Amino acid sequence: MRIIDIGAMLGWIPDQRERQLPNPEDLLAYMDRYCLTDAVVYHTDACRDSFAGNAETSAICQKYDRLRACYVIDPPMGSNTCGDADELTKYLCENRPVAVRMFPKSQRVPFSSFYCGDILEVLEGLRMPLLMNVGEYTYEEVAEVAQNFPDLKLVLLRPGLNRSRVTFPLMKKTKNVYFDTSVMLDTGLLTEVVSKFGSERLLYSSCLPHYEPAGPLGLVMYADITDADRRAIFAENWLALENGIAWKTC
Amino acid sequence: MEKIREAALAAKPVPVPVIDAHTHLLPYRLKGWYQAYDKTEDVVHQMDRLGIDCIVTAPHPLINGTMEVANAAAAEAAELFPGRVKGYISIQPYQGVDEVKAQISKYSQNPNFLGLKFLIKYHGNLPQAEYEYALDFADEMACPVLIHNYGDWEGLQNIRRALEKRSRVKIIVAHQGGGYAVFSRELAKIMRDHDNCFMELCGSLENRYSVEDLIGLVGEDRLIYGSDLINLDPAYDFGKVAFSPIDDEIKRKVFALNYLSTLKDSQMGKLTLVDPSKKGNGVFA
Repeated sequence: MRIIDIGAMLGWIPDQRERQLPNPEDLLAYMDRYCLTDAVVYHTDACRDSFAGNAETSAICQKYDRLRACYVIDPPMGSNTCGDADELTKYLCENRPVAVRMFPKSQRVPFSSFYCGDILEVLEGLRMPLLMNVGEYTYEEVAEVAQNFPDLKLVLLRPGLNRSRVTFPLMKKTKNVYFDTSVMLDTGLLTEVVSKFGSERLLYSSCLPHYEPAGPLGLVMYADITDADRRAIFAENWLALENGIAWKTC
Repeated sequence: MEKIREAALAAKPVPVPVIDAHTHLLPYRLKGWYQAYDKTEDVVHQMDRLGIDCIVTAPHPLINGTMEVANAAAAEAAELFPGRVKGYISIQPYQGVDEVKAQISKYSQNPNFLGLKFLIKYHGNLPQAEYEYALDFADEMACPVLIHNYGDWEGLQNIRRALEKRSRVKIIVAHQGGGYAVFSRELAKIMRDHDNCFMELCGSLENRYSVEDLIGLVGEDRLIYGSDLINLDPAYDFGKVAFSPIDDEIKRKVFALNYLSTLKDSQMGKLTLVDPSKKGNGVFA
């Protein structure tokens, strides 16, 4: 079975001693131990210097075809960050990552139309998946952005335990918010979400190397869903997002 | 050699005996907790899907209800599902020593109750007269006591102090010591000094250690599978064991044999492995 981990990372984690997988070889070897076939990766260097780190990500992904490049976008639009709308579009079109990440809380900017709208407009135009770690956004911000940018593909990584009460309205009232299932840990939640809303907006992630893949694998494998739903969550839904990127607009 | 992982990759019940040492029956919906199912028959159905043969439970009235209700619920579930559900005597110190004594007296001779369950921090610190009484009782009975600990450093140190005074009780520290790697390392130190201390796995979502890492810390004989069902979906920590790249013989220990070892000389209820070739009904009595 093809299993794509959409939330992996390369580079060092400064505050972690339990597991470091800084190099692609380390990451791939660890993925093999857990039957993960592919991973969408960004590089921690890109959080320090997005242009240099993203270039490093691209170089690695060109060498290892199981790894797929995710770029870090550094708001606001400025010459030393991600450029203006045309420059950002050109940059993404030339380099063709399969996703981007933003870290608004870490970058001390609210995740909102007001503060990030110019970037979100570019990403929406390209139908580029935007991956966001839990803690980098609030659920109020997600609802506002999802409604104001209805074609933006917004992927929430590790949306937290005990947040079923926000998961249901986001599933029901938006079409463009996607959920990583790695900590969809409220009892029976994954089964219930698939039953009510389908599996199309659910994606597998382990958030390697911060966390490990086995628990998230268990959640998907033992949810009371069909094998077709499992295949969709593990790989097909992500591939559909990648295939939906509007490179033709470049 | 990898029959457990093969079964898990096929979404089938794992082909070895499994005891879930940490569960709660009945609903609990405070603080964002959510359960898509909460009836005991639905719990047993989910157990069958994963291959969990037996759960040991302290029902949710443990948290903010009464011992009487929690323990009666465990007794009733064990009667309804013989061999599939066993109970802990819930200890709620806010009801006072006399009521703790009464509950222990009422249920300690019931063969379906295997030990005691403490919910420290929710119910205050371990050094309380009610817990001291219950720990002394458990030490006399050489039975397991499952103690919640999550993010509470002083809680772990209190467990160490409790162990320094008691060598017969089997203290099973829940949530890998406290939910985070630093707690697991600290619990491992305590376990090195106390053979009667065990680590239980559930609620490991924030712990950066994998199961093989935890075994590296505490050895393969004292890590115990638990899920925190029905607070948490049992598939998560079950998956951590089932998909772990460790030998099936070690997984068998984590899934059942290590818990059974805590009952070996216990004078409370027993859990007997009747037929390890079966799944569900008939594996345990």
